Amino acid sequence: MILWKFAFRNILRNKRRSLATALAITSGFIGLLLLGGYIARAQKGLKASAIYINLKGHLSIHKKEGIENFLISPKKFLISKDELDEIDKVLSKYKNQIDFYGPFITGNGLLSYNEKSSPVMITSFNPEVYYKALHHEFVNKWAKDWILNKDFNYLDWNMEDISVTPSLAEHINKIEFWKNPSSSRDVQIVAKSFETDLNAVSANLKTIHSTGVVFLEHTSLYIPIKLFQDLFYTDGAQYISIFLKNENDTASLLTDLKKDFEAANLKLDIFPFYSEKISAFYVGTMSFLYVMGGFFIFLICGAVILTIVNSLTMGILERSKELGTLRALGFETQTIVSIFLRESILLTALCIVVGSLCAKLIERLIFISNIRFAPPGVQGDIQFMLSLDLWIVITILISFSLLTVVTSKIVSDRLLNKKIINLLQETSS
Amino acid sequence: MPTDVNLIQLHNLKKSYRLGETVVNALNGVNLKILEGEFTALIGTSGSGKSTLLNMIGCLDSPDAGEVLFQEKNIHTLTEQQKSELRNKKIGFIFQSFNLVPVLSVYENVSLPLVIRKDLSDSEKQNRIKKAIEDVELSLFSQHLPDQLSGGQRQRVAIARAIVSHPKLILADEPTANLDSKTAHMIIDLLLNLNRKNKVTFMFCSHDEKLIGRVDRVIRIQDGQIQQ
Repeated sequence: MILWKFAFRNILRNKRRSLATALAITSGFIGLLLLGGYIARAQKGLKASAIYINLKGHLSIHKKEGIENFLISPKKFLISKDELDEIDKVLSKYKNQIDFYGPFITGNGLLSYNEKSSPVMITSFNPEVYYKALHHEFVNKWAKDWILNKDFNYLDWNMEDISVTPSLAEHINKIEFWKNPSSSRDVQIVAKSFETDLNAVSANLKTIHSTGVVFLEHTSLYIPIKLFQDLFYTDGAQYISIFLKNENDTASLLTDLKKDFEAANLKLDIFPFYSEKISAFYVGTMSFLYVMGGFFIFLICGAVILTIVNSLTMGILERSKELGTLRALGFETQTIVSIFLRESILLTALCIVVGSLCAKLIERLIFISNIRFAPPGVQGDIQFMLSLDLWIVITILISFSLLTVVTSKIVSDRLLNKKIINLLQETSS
Repeated sequence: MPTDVNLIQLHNLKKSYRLGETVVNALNGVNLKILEGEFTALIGTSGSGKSTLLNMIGCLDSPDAGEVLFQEKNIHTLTEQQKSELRNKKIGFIFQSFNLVPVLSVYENVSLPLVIRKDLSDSEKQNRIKKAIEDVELSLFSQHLPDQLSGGQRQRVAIARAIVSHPKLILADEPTANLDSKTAHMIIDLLLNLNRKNKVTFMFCSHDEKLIGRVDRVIRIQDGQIQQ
């Protein structure tokens, strides 16, 4: 106990230096928490976009090699009606883990209104699945900025109803049509079917959506899968998206489904949402954020390490004679090192408590301030928020404590590894 | 009073230092025996080698050649851990400038050698600390910090710290050098009293010739060699 008391009083011995060290450690800790909170928030927003807004699900089932070749040879890489039935059977085994799932097909076409036409990238789905995806609580919490026309009742969606992005509506001269109930909404979609014929269907402009990604925003058209199948002469699907109840099941279900599909002799590929092939924007952006985060972590930790090294070095040099005396009284070097470790632990613990409170306050202030910004590659502006999850705080707390303790141990080990007589003869104290 | 049992034996002890380009022979083949219970003064001029000799006996420094036997064991062949244990249990130190820890109270300073003792119970430790503080007549000051004490009182704290572990030998390097003559005599009286009462061997170095008459034995050292 006296060693803890000794360590505590040593912190108070040079108040100005201890305060400077504490400020550096606290600032570093707050910096890491805010950085972690920002990256976590960005990840959640992008994940919501990748999984729910862009309807890729946690797992995405494609025909073998279909992800690379579907647009070149759609008929060959289409999942057939029989295969869809087989997949249904396999998926029924995992009802407890799967929240919902559905088939999707994408294709290129032309959207026309009167004399105006615009090329479109069509995504088709079961409207009920679309409704569930958009109304998921994860989307509501982290990506609600990308849900447009919030009053629209997605359950009231007929086979000919379609959704366009606001930019696409602008391209076909239907600017803000959703705000004008009397506006004509009859449009045509033209596409080259999978049977190579040119085909056209009539459709009804029903609502608007956002992909959340700027390079998809000018061409995105959402339609019911039945309409797509009529237009492209098919009864199959390009892929099936599976939305899980618990994201943590993604990897295990991926493994299980691969085995089951192989056993059922189904030639399918299955990808998680964090595969570059499925969500290139999510994976690319997160990689960039991790690299950027790593760089800032390096800078922050470097500054904190230098501060601790400087403070400890000064403290040990100043107290050399005292430390020599302790050695003369029979203290082993490691016991004296443990006093310095206790000092670091006490100071770090104080800084972590203060830093956590400050970071939480900053997180709250940022949320209340409703600061909006437009991240690169993201459609529109979004609210600047931080996500200080408990696991982030605990991870940073443990890492930071280890960093300060290990730094203190290395520095004190090195500086105290002197002859007793040399410590006693130091004149700095 | 001293017994006829050897506590310390020095055999041909040598130590040299390098000061820039010059090599200084601090100890030049010292042979010496100290008996248990002796109250010994090591007298010599500044730079004569007395502090170096004390450091060798106290395991604070290592000799270049020769050996130091403490209770018939060569202490410079011990491991660092064994040396620490020897210093902690069998040797007490009193320094010229007291070397007290300024952030610890008198009681806490005196308790320091016992902090690392695993073989004593807490109550035994407390009894020893209280007794040591009583022996140096500082019971009323046990919660004071060193800054709140006079020079003489601080040296008495250092003495209490040296005796608290019940050592066989106490080494004091110029214990009265920073004190006025009246206080210096009081400190020597205190050391002498502890020597007589507790049978602990004392060896202190000084260049104060006035203290010679108070000790059992005077050892003169000059140019790294014992004169008598």
